[in-house]
Amino acid sequence: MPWHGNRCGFLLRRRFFRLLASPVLALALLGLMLLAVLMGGTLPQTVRLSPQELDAWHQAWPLLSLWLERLGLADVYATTGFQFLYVALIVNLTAGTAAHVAYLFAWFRGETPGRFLHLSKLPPALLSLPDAGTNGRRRGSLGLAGLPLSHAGIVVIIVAALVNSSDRLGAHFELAEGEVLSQANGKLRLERGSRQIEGELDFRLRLDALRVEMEGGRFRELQARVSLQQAGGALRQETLAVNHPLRIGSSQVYLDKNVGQAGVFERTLPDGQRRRLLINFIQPREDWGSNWPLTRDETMVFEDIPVNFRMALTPGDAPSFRLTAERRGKPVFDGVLAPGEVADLGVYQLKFIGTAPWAGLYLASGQALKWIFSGFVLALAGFALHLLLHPRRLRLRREGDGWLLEAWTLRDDWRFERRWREWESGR
Amino acid sequence: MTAVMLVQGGIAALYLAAVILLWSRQDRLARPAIALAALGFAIHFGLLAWRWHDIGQIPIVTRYEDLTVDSLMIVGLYLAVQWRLPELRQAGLLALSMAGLGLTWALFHNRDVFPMGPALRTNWLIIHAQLNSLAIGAGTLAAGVHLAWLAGRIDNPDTPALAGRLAAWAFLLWAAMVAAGSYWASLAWGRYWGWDPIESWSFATLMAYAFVLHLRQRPAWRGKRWAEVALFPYAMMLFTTYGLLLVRRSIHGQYLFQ
Repeated sequence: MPWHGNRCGFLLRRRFFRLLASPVLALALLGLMLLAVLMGGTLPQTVRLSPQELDAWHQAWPLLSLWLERLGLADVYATTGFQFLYVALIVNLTAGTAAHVAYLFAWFRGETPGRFLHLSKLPPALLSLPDAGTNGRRRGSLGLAGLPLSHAGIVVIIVAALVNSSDRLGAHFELAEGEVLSQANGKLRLERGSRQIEGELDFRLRLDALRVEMEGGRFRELQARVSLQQAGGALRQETLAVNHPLRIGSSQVYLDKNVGQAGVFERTLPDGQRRRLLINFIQPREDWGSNWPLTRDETMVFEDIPVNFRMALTPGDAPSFRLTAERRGKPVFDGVLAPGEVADLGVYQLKFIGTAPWAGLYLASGQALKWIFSGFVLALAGFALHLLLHPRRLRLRREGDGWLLEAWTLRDDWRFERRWREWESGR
Repeated sequence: MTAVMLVQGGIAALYLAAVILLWSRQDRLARPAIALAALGFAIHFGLLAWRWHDIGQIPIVTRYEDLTVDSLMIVGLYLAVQWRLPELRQAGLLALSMAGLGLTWALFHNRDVFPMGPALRTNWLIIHAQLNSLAIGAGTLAAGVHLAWLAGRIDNPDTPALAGRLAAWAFLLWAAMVAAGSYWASLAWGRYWGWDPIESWSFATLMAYAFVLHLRQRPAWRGKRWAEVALFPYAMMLFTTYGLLLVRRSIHGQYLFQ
């Protein structure tokens, strides 16, 4: 019987929609999300720990750390369960928003949804009487749009956050004064979850000057003057400061708030080619401006033979560079270079030119970022509307020989209810 | 003992004296209680204005300043709300106690000036921190109503609706604080969210408020049972703001609350 089948299907679909839009489902999802986030915010999350901290954690709690990892609690936010919660919330919020919108349309059509409080026999003096009519008098109707807007805003945030996490670029790099970034290879250190970027970048960025002022090991000022050239564009000078990222197309460059000193060298290869070489040294913030030697040990492979370098850079007005290089356990070079002096390392020559400060920078891009903040605005504005405006309706209708005054208001409209009670008690 | 300690201790004493008067539940003592709280608020406001002038930057960076501002917000919101809704005066038992405790606890923290680094020199810090203080004020007031309702000190037909409204305001202000912090982080660090312990707990507090606000729509949960459950998000709010940095490292601890 086709009619029976259609009816049955309709009822099933309606029941399914009601389940998806159900406040009970919302409560369950919110409860699960709350538990997941509490665990993520309280238990050690391995991705947030440095290698040393991770080792210490594994050694101190071998059994617990093992079980947390097995249960997916050592990286809660990357688990499939957490992603599933996101998706389930989107479905529930979307269905809930649709149900709210249905209420809104019903209200504007003159109907009153069931969840409204119906107060009959309202005093004419309570509010100025509306014109008699089908729709009566409405006030604060926009308040009804508050919750759908708020829920829609949250959907926008979650969807945009999911899109952003799949499309996001996040890469750290270091630039010394005078150095240019034009290639991704070997220069950009991609963050976990970032999309790949290789080869030539569509811009060239040069750090012209770095301004660093420290006070008690903390930044008092951190600014960089940079030259920027986008593909096919003219060279332009910009200032990069904390809280003021540099926009390059759809990407932004930020100051990463770590600085140091670089040794600047000219490397002469066996074929006579000369190349600029920068070796960055981290300088503790509390030592910024002092001329204490900065050390760095490095092993590099030349012609399949590892060469161990022990380096000490002394910045300041009279910089120097101390280098000990060993190849197969035999010393290749051991000495101190002043600016202009050359070390012969066998495979190439290294000329020390001087020192330059370097800054850590961060390149990020995410197309959906503006949607995330639009979602925030929508959600907050919607909820503020819900709290500030109180939808009320008065309607006068004929009943027998007399008139009946009907009033509707939301359950939490305590001001309206209070006035009504005051009138009733005074009558 | 410095003058600041004396003045701040005096303000806390005024708030606690107001609590004692409110505790008596006698109508004739309610006005003097509010007068004491208002006097404390005026001196409290003056103390913060003096510090602002003295240190040359808005006093919202150190834990001492944070506690002092939060206490001021709690009292300010309480005075404003009880002026419009005198039946909620008993909520002052919690609100004024928390303000007095906050001011006293602040005295145990370092009162030195913390120079603002470049990351903190932005209006977004002011917006973020003030929304946090306002949320704590609204949350404390809501919890004060819930506790007074549970203790039978507030008994009015409107109490369930008012308790729900205040919790909803706390939720809105906390959500706005999280959003402002997120936008600021996107400007300063290039990431709008990082699941840092403070961010995680802020989000969890938001979820907890959303949970109790949805729970309130269930007919079985509209009474005092709901008021009991609604105290949990407030406890989480307090732990996120004041307790978490005592037990976990966070990016907030590197820049603020020294």
